[in-house]
Amino acid sequence: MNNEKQTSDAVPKVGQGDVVISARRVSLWYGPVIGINNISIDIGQGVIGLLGPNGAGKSTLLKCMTGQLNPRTGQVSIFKQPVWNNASIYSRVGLVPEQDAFYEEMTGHEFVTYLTRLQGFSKDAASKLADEAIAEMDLEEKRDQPIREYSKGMRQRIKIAQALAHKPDVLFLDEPLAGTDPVGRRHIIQLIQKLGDQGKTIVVSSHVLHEVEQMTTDIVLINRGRIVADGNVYKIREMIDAHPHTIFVDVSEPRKFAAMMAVFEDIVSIEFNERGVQIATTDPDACYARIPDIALENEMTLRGMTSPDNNLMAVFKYLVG
Amino acid sequence: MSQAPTSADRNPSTGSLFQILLTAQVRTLLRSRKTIALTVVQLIPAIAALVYVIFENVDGLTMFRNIVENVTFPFLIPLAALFYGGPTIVDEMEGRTLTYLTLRPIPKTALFLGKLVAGWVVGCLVVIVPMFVLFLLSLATSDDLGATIGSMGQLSMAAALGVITYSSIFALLGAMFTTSLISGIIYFVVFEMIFAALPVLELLSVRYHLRTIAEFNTGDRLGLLDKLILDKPLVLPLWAGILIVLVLTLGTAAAGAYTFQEKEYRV
Repeated sequence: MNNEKQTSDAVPKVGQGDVVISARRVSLWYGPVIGINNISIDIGQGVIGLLGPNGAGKSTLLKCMTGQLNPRTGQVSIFKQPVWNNASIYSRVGLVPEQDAFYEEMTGHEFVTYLTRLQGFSKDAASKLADEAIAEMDLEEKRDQPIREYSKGMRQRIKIAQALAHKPDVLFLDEPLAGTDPVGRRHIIQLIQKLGDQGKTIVVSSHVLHEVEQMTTDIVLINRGRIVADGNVYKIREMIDAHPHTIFVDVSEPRKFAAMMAVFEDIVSIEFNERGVQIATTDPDACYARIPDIALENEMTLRGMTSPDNNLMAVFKYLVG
Repeated sequence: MSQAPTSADRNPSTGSLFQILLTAQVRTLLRSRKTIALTVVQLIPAIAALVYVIFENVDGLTMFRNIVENVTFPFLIPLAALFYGGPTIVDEMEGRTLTYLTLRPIPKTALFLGKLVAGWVVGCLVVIVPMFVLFLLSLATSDDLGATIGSMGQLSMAAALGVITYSSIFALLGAMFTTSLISGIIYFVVFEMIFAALPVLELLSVRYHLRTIAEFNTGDRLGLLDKLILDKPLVLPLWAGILIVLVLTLGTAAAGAYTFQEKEYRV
């Protein structure tokens, strides 16, 4: 678990298994403005969420990782090969770029086939792979329609299809859910999870936290060009000892319950709202154990107990905010 | 039932990818609107010639050479190159599709050259086919068929060299400045209009060397400015013209490919 403690000795690692993507002391600036600043990280297999607010440096880091930008200092490598100006690495890499850009006159199938052919496949093989990827994205019915006639969600899905068709080992997705409807969103999330389970390395960049939360618990938080925290989202939460942990308790007698909780030293604050009692504690484990006991002993009905602190939004707010 | 393709079905060699890119680009350019528009523009001299052939008593060969010398070479060839060479990379940047191409296992230099060569091919077709139409019209009124055919061959070669040279220059400018039209027009005005009209400096223009290759009449080269410092027109041999143009083409194409490889394009 790492938090603002990047040194040359301890390079943080997220994901499972061997290191697939490695960044060492990577910096890039746009004139006087720093894009990313001295980032070192190792990324293994599985789904990794790259999170941060707009302008945090996510896209810059992603572009350095995919060889679109050349870091001013440091180096990024994939499978131990440098990325910048190393075309051979792209046989194993796929990218879903953020920009909504296409060869508009092409049909979806032509688009995916063309880009798959440029992966070195024959016309027939590329066509078959395009068919598979298009089917995976549920676009078979629209495959022969020009992309300019696609809806925003369909454009997003065909963009993912071109990145998947050659079956890459490493997949970068920049805001993959942008413009998708709830059904398409769910489909893409499940697909990303499936690919992660297959042992592929999937780096998902997003500023929409609840979306990433549904895909993975392995995250890298970035802000102002630096990695703020990385690792498992729950462990990150544990790391923030100084910050009180919030628990919502929906109980039949909230005022009585609050009075009984207030006597404990770890309770920092108690508030009432429409969801029930909101408790802030510095010892969440003890507090979680105590709540059902108190309710039971005092014959109160405990209808629910939830914590926003275990979701990504909370971690994000604590660390970035 | 056929098996799903695997990595064994793959040939990501640079040569193979270059060929795939070139073929796809030629096909795309041939189907593009700009090709239709440019073909129409390139056919205008032929249409004008048709009017002359019908209503005027002109010598076909003279008419053919005059049109090619005064319209095709100074204007139509650079125009075609501006539309096929300049956008080699710029179109992909402006369309924000460059990312798709640069994330394929084809080296950036091969990517640049594949797109440039496709521009050469289509540019040559768009220039030479209308020239051939013009030539066919001129045949109808020419007294010397043998000379006309020989002339067409030489002019076609010069036109093709013109297209590839100008295209390479415009592609280099596009790679350097990420805009092709403005930089191309500035180049054209400075080198091909101003320099081309000045003594000795005319050697820096492609136009001068194309005139040498096409063997246009050198007697009228001596303009007012030339007369101030030269007794007779500056004329290079044919082989020198071809050599200079080829060196210029290869040099600018290589420089463009290198620029594209090393430069970051923020799409």
